[in-house]
Amino acid sequence: MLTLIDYGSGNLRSAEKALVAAGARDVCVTADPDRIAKADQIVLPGVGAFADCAANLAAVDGLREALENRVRGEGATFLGICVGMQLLADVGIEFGSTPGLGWIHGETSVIQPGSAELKVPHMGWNSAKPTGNMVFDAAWGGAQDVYFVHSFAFRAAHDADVAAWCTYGADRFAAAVQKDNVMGVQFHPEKSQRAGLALLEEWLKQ
Amino acid sequence: MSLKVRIIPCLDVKDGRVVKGVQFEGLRDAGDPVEQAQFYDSEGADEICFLDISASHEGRGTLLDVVRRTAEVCFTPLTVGGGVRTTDDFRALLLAGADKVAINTSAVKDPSLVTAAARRFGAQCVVVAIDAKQTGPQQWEIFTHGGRNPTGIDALAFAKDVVARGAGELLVTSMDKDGTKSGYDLALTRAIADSVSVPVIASGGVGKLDDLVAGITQGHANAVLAASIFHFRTHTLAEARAALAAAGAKVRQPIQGNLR
Repeated sequence: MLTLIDYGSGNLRSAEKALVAAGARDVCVTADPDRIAKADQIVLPGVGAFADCAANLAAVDGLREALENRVRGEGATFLGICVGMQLLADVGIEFGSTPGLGWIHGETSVIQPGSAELKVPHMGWNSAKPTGNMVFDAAWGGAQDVYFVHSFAFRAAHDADVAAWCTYGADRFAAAVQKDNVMGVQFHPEKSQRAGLALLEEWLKQ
Repeated sequence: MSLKVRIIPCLDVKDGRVVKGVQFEGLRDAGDPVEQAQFYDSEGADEICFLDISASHEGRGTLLDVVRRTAEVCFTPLTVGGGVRTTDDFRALLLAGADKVAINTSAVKDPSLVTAAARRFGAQCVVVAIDAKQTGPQQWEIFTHGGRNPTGIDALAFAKDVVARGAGELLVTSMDKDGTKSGYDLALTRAIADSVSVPVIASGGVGKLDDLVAGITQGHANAVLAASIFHFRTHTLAEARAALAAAGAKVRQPIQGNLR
């Protein structure tokens, strides 16, 4: 059973439809810890500010614990999208600092492309270049343009956790991270047409 | 590899139907915005924009249904605008499947809506649509209600203000140029693009491919929006991409055939 976490911070409908188009059956949209305890695959979407998403996650009784148990304890496959990926970090630095899940070491900080012509938010299609990650290699076989919309980026403590890179002007940040059963993507696979669906399809096969 | 300029077909929707009499071959129902969005999705549009011009409450209700049905079949970023007044209107559109919401009249009437929406949903989904008419050299005034009502507000000052309040993107439409097919108001687009930190979409007046190119190279926009040039098949999105690429702009090449 694939569970899409509904904690008030995601573009649930788009994510759900894309997962179904990529081959998922039985997408369960929920924040119920009992359902999460039985999920084989878990998707955490997220749009907006890090602190708001973290607060929304904390506001659902037992949700954080259920995720820790099921993903970290029992090894359910996990995918965080956009802010859902950033929440994997130890800390989000966005108008103050907010603790994240700490599942993949690093922090988020503002994108600094280094030129006034390069606007923030980083909005639109940019290249994500895989680092040899199996899911990406199986899906794409090389770099692909995917859709980004964000002002902050994941700075992984260890390059080995970066599954794909994105470069924007003078800044280079993680387009995707993966550690064991936990993956996160900064871009929106649910809005990246065929490249996005192909990635979801491979992720679902894991 | 770097960020690409975006080409955005825009559909005007009234009471759940596309206006401006689009004539594509092979569409089951040429007035259905969902079918048209799907067509542009298949052509590799970088984003799609719906602007709702319904006057009635019922008409607006149908828009949510259109957005829902579009999100089921199009995996392309979708911006929706028209008649948005409250953060609850934002929420309804985002839940239906919109990625960004454009506000125009409401942002002028009550700029605090920009801040409230950016706080609640993130700046990335708050697009402020600026409809402006030239009033003097390097001077433009904001108009609301689809360009009918003057406001006395300076467009450049307004643009800076809404960005400071949390707008994540500006959709800049010249009311002088809209519908003329004589090209964007490049001076307006550039004046705003050069003075804000967020992306700017050029809009209003595209009649030929060179107009799209000029929006980027001379208007300094990050994205180009057009309606009739694509709807009437004057040009395809592929031709638009080729023209922009030939002028040195970075464009995305949608995937043809298998990924690998």
